[in-house]
Amino acid sequence: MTALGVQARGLTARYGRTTALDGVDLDIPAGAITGLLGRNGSGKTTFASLVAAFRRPSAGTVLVGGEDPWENEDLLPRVLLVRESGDVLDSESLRANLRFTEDCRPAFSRDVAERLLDTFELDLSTKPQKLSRGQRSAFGIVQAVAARADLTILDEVHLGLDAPSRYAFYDALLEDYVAHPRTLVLSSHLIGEIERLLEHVVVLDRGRLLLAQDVDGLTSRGLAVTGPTREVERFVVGRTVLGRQQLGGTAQATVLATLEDAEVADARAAGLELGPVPLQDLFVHLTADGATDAVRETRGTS
Amino acid sequence: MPPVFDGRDPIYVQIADQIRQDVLRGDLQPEEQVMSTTQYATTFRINPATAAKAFAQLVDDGILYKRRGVGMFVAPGAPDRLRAEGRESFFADTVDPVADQARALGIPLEDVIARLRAHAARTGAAQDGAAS
Amino acid sequence: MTTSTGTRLGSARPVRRQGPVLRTAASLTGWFAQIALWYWALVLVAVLGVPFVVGAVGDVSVSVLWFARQSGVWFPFSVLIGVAATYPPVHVAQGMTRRAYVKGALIAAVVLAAAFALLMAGGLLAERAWYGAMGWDWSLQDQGWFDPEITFGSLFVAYLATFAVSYVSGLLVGTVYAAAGGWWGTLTLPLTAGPSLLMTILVGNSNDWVPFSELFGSDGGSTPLALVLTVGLVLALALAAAFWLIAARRAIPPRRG
Repeated sequence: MTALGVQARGLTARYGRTTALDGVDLDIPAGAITGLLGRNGSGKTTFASLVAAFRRPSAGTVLVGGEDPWENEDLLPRVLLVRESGDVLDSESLRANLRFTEDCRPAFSRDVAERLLDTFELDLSTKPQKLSRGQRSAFGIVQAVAARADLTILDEVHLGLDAPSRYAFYDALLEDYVAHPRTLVLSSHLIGEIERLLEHVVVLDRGRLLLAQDVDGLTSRGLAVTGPTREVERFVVGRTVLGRQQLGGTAQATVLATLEDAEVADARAAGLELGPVPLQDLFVHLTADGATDAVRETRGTS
Repeated sequence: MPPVFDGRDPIYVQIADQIRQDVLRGDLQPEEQVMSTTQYATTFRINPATAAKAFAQLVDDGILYKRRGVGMFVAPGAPDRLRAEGRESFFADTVDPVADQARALGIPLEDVIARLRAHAARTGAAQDGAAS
Repeated sequence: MTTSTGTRLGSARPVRRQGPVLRTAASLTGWFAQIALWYWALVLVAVLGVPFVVGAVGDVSVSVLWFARQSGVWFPFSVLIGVAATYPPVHVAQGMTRRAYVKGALIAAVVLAAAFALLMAGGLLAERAWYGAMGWDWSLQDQGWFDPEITFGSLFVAYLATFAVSYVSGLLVGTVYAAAGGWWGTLTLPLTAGPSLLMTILVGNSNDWVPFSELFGSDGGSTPLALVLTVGLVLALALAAAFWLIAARRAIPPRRG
């Protein structure tokens, strides 16, 4: 079993008159952990559905490991999409559901499943309809991690989980990923929590690809510049400004920039403080209304 | 080179800096085995590729070295090398900004020097001994 | 870390490593069997109990199992509507193709129809023997297709045709509701559920109204077996084809959480 990458070209999905995904060109590298980020309605879930062959593209193509996933009998057992709501048989016990997963997934690990069931304190004799939202999410996580699918997509599976359970999830996922490398795609709103788990980031915005980049590159592109308003304004000339804040004579601007050493020295000499922009803030700025065009213009030059 | 802006750097640079500090302080001794990248990743909840990048950088810089099939170890000359590099950048990265800031605040340079002397006297001879 | 039995999958059961079609068929049949067990328990209680109640106030002359025929058609029909509406997302989420689902579900429907037909036909004959031993009169309530001398083979084939059409029809009804929504689901009911109704009428009534029945050797009383079989086969194939065309293309929509 080898990890599976994803290639999308001109990928488009329409629901009636609504275009959920609009001509997306995107590569998700095999064997890495990629964050799939975007606001609600950005097309994340639709993208995941197309990759896992839950639906067919209206136009364009998506390839998984170089193959079309639609009705692909050999490929699909190695592709797993776990959705927030969970796709389980409500009338059957968790045990029956998990056994079904075990039957369907060639790399399924019973040890991992049982360990996670302990962690999340799930009782296998329960039926899914009796579970709380958090327990439902936890059960989806058990299925997802234990299945060890070569491409595993987790769409908002953390919803309803409290912080300790989420961290238990991150730990379990990372531990099993290290032992059994695979392609992981995580979609979450809790960017601050998952940032360090990610190697790559994909940001979708209103059905279009905003950026796809490695995390290190992205975080070093964001820069918070603080100082006297006049100096800040001089600094940002010719740069992509994502956001501005003003307090008295002091201003802070969030810009997309990778500085040379000389530029750093100049900025400091001008009394400017240069600081980091957490991925979460960068994401908020990038996907704010009206930010899209500014980012697109610079995307090609980065 | 120590980071100019702590936290602005990518995570792998921060990890590498952390290990450099451990070596400088003696928390990690020469020839001591360091955590594997996977241990590091799972312990600190960090992407393994990011951790591997940090370790690769440290190997490139001669701070760590690999023993095939065994793991990674602190290079024998690592503390000296780090100290030498630290001295080079110390004045540019640490002292100069202090001087700039002192001037901006209107603090006479003599006061700054006096403060440094007093601090050194308080923290004592132990450090002088370690540095020599 | 506590180790409770509630988190053990159990080693007694081996992993099933058959192909997706057989796995689907086996799973659907297995899940259905759990519900069917309750159904047959209820039927058994009625068959054994009702004659004594009737006997207390009058003469026992009617087959209770013959009445149960309608429930044998419509109960699995409604269960399969639910299966067709709710199972495919789980199937696709576990990395199997819609093709495998369609094939597996059709196999399951035919297996279920055969099992129900077997129990119904065997049950009717057992009931007839029992009535005879008790000195009760076993005649079928309406002047329908079954005469008191009917053989097991004819009964089985007639039931199999009726049930198979009905169960595939259930799969189709559920699929159209899930894939196209309530309006289309309801509007197309004459096409999707109509065949099931047609079969029960064909088997249950005299055939005065059936055109060309003479061609199949009708004696003017009951519908000939050959006609039942032919109509059943044509309807089942048409329903299965429609089910295939819709279910093999169906998108799995986001589930309301």
